[in-house]
Amino acid sequence: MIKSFAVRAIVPVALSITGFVILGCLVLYSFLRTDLENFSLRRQQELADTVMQAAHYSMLKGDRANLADMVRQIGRRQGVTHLRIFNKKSMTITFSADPTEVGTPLDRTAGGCIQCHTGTTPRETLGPMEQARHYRDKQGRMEVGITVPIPNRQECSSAACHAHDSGERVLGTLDIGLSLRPLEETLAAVRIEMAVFCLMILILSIGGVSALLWRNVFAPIKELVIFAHENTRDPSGGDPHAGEEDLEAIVGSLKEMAERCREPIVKRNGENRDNSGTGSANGAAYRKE
Amino acid sequence: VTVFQPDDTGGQAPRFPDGVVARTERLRQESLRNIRRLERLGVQSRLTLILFMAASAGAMFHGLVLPTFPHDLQAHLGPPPPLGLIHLGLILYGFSALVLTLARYTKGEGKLHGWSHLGFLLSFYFFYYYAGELEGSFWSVFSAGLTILVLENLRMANFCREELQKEKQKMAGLKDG
Repeated sequence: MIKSFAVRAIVPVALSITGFVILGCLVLYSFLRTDLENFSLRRQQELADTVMQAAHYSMLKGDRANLADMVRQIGRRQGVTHLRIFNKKSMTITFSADPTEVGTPLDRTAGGCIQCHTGTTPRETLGPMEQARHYRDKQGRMEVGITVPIPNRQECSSAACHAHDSGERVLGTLDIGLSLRPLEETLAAVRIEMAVFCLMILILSIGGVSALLWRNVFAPIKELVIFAHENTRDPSGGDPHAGEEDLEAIVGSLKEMAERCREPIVKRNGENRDNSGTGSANGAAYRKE
Repeated sequence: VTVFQPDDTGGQAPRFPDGVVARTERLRQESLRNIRRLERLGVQSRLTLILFMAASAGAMFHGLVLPTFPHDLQAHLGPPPPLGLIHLGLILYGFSALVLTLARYTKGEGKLHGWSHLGFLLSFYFFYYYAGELEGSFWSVFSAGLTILVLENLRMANFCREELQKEKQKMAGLKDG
């Protein structure tokens, strides 16, 4: 158990400051991470919508070559890990940035499909957060996948070229995968900056509190203890706390007490010396002092 | 106050009046009871920290220890509180708990508050688990819990040490007569 007065006073303060600064930094980091993730997700949803808008005209015109080229070009962009368009009727991948995927059947239990295909009747709309899913790729890197249903608009069902039945609500889905590497790199940088900042605050606050306590409390108490010890041997010692009102009062009391305790001894010693014929002057001088 | 009056036993051990013996014995028993109570307090204080560490280990590996939250129960309980609100609750709780523990430390209060802190901290683990954010927020609850419970343990250890010292001095005084 800690018995030192200084350690007992500093440890709880240091512990409280350290704990709360770490807690504050961790919670702040959680807030930042959530905000950055939401911001990143909004940007990615905007990108998915842009692709949808761009693909809409080609789909309406039935320009499959243009659509396939557009999917390939977007899929080559840095940060885009996959881009596919599923056809609901054929239940296969009709267009993909990866040519080997074209024509492969759709797995309804896969990550991007399960959100709508959980019940007996598939859902036709999804909230913005439900459209996104987080997963790791084969290399273990985090990715976000966004699945957007392609609705059967009026111009799709009424078009002369390849009219869909107006009863169909969804024609297929667009699935886009984006790398979360830039976000992870930003978060890693934030973590390092926060750790350094946290360390600086801790050094400054704990060091400051310790230094102030040491200078204003522990050092005078230590001096007082040394003074009390020395005063029992030599009452002529100097005052170690000149200028500090409270401690000067304690020093004064200690001196007075030591002198009162010493007086009978000095008197007795003086009498002994008087009896032996020596030391009377010394005793008188000491009392005077 | 019964005054001790040595009888004339001629060199034999002094005999105390019955009232003095009974009172001394009563005080001794009281001291012993206090010592046992203080020892129990110390053990309980350490136990809260051990239980928190065990719960934290469970929360850290919750994927292995805890089952996924049943959808039926989740539908019955309703949506979890917003994550920002849980974070805010944790910060407010951490701040007030530290301030209160430091105030109790200063006052030298002897009441154990470790159990209530353990309850609060486990509730935070549960809320994060329910919101599906336990993995991301585990270290926040752990750092808050560790700081508060270590400080609480330190406070209780200091209190028990001082009180035990007093009781031992009292016992020594009774023994000396």
